[in-house]
Amino acid sequence: MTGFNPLDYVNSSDFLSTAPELLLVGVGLLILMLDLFLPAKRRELIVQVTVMGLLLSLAIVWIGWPDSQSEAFSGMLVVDGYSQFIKMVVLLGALLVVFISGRYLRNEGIYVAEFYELLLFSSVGMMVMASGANLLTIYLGLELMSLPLYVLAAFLRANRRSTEAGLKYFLLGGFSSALLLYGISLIYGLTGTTNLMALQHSLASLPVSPPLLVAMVLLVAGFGFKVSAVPFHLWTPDVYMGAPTPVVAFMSVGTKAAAIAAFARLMVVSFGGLQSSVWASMLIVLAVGSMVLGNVVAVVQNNVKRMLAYSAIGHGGYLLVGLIASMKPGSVVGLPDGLTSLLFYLFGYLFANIGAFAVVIYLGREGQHESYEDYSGLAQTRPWLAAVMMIFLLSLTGIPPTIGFVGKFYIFAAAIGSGYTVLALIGLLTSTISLYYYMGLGMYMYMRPPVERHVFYPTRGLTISLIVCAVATVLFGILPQTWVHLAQSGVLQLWH
Amino acid sequence: MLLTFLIFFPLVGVAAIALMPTFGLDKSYAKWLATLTAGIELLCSVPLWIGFDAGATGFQWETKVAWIESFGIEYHIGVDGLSMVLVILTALLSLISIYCSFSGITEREREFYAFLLLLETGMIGAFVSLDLFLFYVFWEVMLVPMYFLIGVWGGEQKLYAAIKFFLYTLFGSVLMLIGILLIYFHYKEASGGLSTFDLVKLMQFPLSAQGDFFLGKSTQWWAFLLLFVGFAIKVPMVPFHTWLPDAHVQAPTAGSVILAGVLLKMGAYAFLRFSLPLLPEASIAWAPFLMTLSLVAIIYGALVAMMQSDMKKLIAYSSVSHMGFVTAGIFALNYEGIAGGTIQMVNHGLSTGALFLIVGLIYERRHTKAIADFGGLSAKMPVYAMLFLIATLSSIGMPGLNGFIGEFTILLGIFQVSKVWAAIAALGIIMGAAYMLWLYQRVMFGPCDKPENQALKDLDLREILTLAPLIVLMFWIGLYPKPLFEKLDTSTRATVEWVRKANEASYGAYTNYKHRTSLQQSHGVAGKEEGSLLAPESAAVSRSDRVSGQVVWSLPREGGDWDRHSASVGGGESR
Repeated sequence: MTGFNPLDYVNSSDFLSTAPELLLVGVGLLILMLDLFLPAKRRELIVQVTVMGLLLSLAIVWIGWPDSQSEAFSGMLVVDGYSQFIKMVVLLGALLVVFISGRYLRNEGIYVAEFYELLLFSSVGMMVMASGANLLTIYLGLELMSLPLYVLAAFLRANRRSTEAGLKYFLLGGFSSALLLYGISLIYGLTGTTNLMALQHSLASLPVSPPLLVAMVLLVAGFGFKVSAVPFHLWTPDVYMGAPTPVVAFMSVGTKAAAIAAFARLMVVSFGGLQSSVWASMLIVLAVGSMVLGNVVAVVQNNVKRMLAYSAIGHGGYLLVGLIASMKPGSVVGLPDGLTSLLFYLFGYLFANIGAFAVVIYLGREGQHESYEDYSGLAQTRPWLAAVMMIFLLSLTGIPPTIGFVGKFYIFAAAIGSGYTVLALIGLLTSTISLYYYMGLGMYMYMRPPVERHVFYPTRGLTISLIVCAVATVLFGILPQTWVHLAQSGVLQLWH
Repeated sequence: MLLTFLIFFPLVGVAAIALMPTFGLDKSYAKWLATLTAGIELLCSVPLWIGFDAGATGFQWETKVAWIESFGIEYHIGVDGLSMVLVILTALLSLISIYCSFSGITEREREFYAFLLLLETGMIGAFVSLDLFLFYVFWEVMLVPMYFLIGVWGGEQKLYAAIKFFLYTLFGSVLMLIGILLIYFHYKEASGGLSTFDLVKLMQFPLSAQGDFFLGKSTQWWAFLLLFVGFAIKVPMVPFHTWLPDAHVQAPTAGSVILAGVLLKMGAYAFLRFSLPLLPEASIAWAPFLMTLSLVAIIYGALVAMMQSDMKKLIAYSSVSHMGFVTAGIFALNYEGIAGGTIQMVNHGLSTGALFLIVGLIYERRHTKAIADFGGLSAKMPVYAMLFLIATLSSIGMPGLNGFIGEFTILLGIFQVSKVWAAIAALGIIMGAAYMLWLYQRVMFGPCDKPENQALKDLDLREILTLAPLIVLMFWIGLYPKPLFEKLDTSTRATVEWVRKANEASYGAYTNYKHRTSLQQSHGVAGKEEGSLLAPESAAVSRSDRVSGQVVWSLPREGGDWDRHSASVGGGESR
């Protein structure tokens, strides 16, 4: 190996195109340092640095929005509209979570710096997954995303449920990563490459064989775990209930976005319509299972966080419908509508879901589990808070004029357009079921007498994020065109 | 612009009510703000009636702005005779329902009036939407405020009734959404990639050389079924009606008035606006089925109404029966049927709205709706008794009042399709007279022996004023319906003509050859009557005759014939 110079494989544009990620890594390290040297009184600075870092990263993503796909680091990563859209969702999610977490962390007495640092590193992992053009980078991103989340889930050290959540998430997450890795190695063994583009050529000439099918099953299992699709969902309710609420808010959006983005890229770029019937039949089982189980079990919950956990399973199912819709049986290349709808749905889900968790944090009390009764009569004591929560719930149900409606509309339109009418029917019927439990909470807020509760004054961050989420949910529900277009152009860049 | 203003102006009222505390206004001002908003809204809807060009085809006051280009979705609104009348009805009933709540609603007033105004936006938006997507949005927007109106200010079982209403309607809506998407994708395919939800564009798609619509018959068949469930739940048609009695009984008076007066019209309106124009062949194929359901609704609703001991429930079931008339008229698929159905929509809004107001008035005084708790009220409350009587007579179709005009015209329409069915429908009118008069008798006549009823006060001026506009309109439509028919004439004719064309295109001479001769005989009579009563020009009559002739597939004695048709429709695209 004489004459090996790593710099031969790197050029300056690589750093430019991965600037958002690199910046966040830098900010994360900076926080580590600040934490050492800052006096306890100045801890607020860490939050400000985190917010600045995320905003700057978001700005870079936004300003450098690509018109076409470009490679970085010898094709290990790609930057295209698709990856940038996911990054935008992740960054917005992280930003909103930073805003809503201040109150929570103070209430629970959790140390500040590490929380933000882990959040940043996890976001970087998600962004790497979104850009990953090689099975190895995707796997790296997945681990970089997951490891901080395992820690974050167990962040309430004194709380038995939280540590249990962390441990559960870690064990099952490690297991699923292993499955994924095994699937990747099988693919590598069959084709001799891990690059998604190169895979496309190798797979095209590869006959369907048991090892390939096993590899596909393992990939589905690995990604299915992260999207919390049935039957890989078992960790979800416990982790969502035990983990700190801001972490749950972050996980529910970011993890899903990153995992499904990477999976979709693998499917449409590498497989590009190959074995689409096998993929579709596996994913349909997952999607239907998630939509039905998630929504039906959510009905009988009496804890808001747990209800949101099950509903998150259901939303994972809707995302899978978008993915399935991108594979029209018999077509060589996936249909762009499916993936576009998926991206748009994630964008809408971001605001509604984080907003709902923000309300949960707002009303949360130390040592209390958030039961429906805590929301009783909220409309009379805090009408605006109840109103924004109602907006989030309506968006999650998919009632216009909210962004959740447009998202669902688009996903099911894409499914019908690809010929999966029955799947769309099941999806829409399960979202009727979801109305029952979302409005169940609405009923407590509006139709029950008020209860005595501690009056909390919100932090500024909480107020800001609630307003942002509510305005975005309604505004982009009425005027979705910009984002639909952005997602559309991003998806079209996948193949170029 | 006028229509856009009408849609969104109530939201100004909502905002004003929401911001009241900011300006230090006491919450008692909420009702006045709401009344003011709804009043201005009603005033601004009057130009629609005055400026409406009855002779012009197509839509008027159209606005068309690109909205979500990626799906070809447009903000496209406009009115024809049908929707214009319903918009004004909506504005009127909204004002009345706000005004009638002054004494009944004492808790959380601001929210109450805000939801009522929000509901008005949804209803008017739905009536003027000409884009399927836009229509769906407004259709759903109506659900949320209604859910709250029932759930917050309702009776004892309000939570159950509210969620039942919401779930039922949403269930129908999602099926409807799939139906809309089916139409969308088939248009996209047939037109080579054009995406639109625009009703007008979808209808403009030319008939192909074979005379087929862009939607194949099997697609139409499925799309119709999906839309049907959504619309039928809203009407409600038997067997989708079970949410209605719960919702009506539990809803506050204003909620009941809006529900009966406007929301129930939404389903029938949607049949006329979307099912018939977009799915004409399927409408013809499904018509016997829908007609049967409608007749079942007429009879069943009347029978169940007769057995009720709760006034509100009785009127709720009478709504099922009356809406059965409306859908029966529509699916007679001829001029008289559709015109009558439209008139009956208005009539039902007026008379049932008035009846719910009347029950609400007595409920406010006595806090009971049970018929058995009353008796002999006419002596204590003469004004009340008189107004109740007028509304009752209007509801049962007494000549000289509005109900008669609608029911008679509908019967004319059904008669042309089948005499037996017309006879069944007529039976429903008789039963309607029975349960309504029996209700009136039990409440108003007899000895006033309940001590609680001794001190009942008659209506005050505000209460009379809430009822007065409805009573005036009942007499106006009953005595001089010509202006109303004229405004509705063009849109009705266009719908009938469109269905006729589809019928001719798809079933061709086959159907007509079989039934035309037998039809023209029974027809002549009906045609003459119709001419003298409604049609301004005799040419129109003969045209509508021809039209009716096309649709007679459904004579029951030729039942096998219809079976063949639906089989051919279900069988696929090719003929």
